Amino acid sequence: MSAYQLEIRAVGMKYQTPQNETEAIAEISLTVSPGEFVSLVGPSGCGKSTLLDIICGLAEPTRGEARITGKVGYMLQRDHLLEWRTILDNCLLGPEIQKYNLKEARRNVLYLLERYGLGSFAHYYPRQLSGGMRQRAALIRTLAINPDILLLDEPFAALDYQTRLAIADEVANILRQERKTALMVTHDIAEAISMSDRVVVLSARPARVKSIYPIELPAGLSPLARRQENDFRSYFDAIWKELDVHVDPA
Amino acid sequence: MSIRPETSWERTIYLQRLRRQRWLILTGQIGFLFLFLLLWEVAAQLRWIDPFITSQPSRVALTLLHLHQDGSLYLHIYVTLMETFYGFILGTGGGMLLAVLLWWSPLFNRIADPYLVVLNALPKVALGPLLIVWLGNGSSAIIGMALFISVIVTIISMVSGFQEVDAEKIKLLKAFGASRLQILGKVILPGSLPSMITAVKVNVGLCLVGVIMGEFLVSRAGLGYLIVYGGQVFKLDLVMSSILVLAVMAALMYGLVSYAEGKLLRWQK
Repeated sequence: MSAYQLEIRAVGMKYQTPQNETEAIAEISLTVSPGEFVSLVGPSGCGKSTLLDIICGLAEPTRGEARITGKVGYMLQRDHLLEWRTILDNCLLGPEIQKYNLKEARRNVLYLLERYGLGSFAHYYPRQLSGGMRQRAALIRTLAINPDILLLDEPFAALDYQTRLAIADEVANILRQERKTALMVTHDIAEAISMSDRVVVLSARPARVKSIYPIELPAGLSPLARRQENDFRSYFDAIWKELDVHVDPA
Repeated sequence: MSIRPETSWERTIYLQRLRRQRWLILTGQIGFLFLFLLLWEVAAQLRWIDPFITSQPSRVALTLLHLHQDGSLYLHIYVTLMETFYGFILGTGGGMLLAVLLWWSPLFNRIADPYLVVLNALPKVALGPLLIVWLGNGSSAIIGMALFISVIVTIISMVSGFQEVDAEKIKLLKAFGASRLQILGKVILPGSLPSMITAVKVNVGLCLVGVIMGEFLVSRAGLGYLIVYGGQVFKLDLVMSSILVLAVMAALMYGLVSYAEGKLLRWQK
């Protein structure tokens, strides 16, 4: 047993197509401790999502390995709730696939739905819910298999700004209450700083770790409150400079 | 005056106008049929047209009455209905099964692709003589015709329906560790239910085409047989009556499928 929840060791990834070869990840090594919230930020198309795919076993790295202690839950950019299932049945998808005792899983999911404000919507169909509620349901679906570590792939990107702030706040609180480890990919620097214990900055493709920022904002604060802290601005500026975003003049 | 407080007079007027329009459309639809039949009958009575060639509503009604009295109407309907039913079940069921197989093995899918394209383009009626030789000059050849006409279309539309299912949804299931069978059962099949229903809707019509074509080629009973027979002995009343029965039958079958569709796709509302 390793002391880390997640250990990425010298992972490299090349994609092959008939036309050419693309190196998505040059080399990434990273460890995440239990209970930690780590964010990955980087220019778009830098292979962040590829890294998450490798971690949860959906893609085989060309080099290196990603080792996970415990169970992994994956939350995607869009909620992907199945339209023909009710919210409750959507949340039971993981337990069904992993052949849980469905009676127990059902009780657990109903408890989670109740606790996070979706109790009265358990028997609604996804299209009857707002974007924010759907994303919350997607989180509960991920939590229903009781994962030790959550991989979040730009989980709020499909939401409007207001909802995004509110849901980020809620998700951070839920993950803290459930004591989950989390690795989140995002391109929103402010979101990364407000939610994380550490922010990892990746380079443009092929990706490598450029630098790692431990975020030392008061731990008890919610993401929204952390945005009000004085140091927030300086973290933002530092990471912004590190990302080195160029907008080419036309 | 018992107008509910939440119903404004603008809404009352709107609802009134809506009702009036619906009524107008329904009256128009029924009125058209009535006028058409009336004109046809009068034209035939006054010999503006030759009822020997065009038949006429009263003679159609009389023919239907005779067919009803000697019971042969029901035999012909039964034969056509049964052939359509078996052709539909075999064509749709077989097509869906093969589509699942092609989804399961992408390699097999790519190998089969050009053959499906060619078979789809081929007019199925050309296979008629072969089917008669292979399956005999009875109902099996006719069912075979209905099967051939529906099976290829089913395969093609179902495979493309399967492929339209969001790849990210499949990724979600894979992240949960789903097997290929679980992906099929939990996302692919329910996700392509709308394409499945479209296929069923199209197939009901196609199978009827196949059966009538088959009955034209070889048969001793069925509505298609009645139409061809009526044409050969120049009994246009019989032809018209059979077409009328066929139209009603097709409409009823379509209604049945639409009803089932509404039941199955409740989550879309």
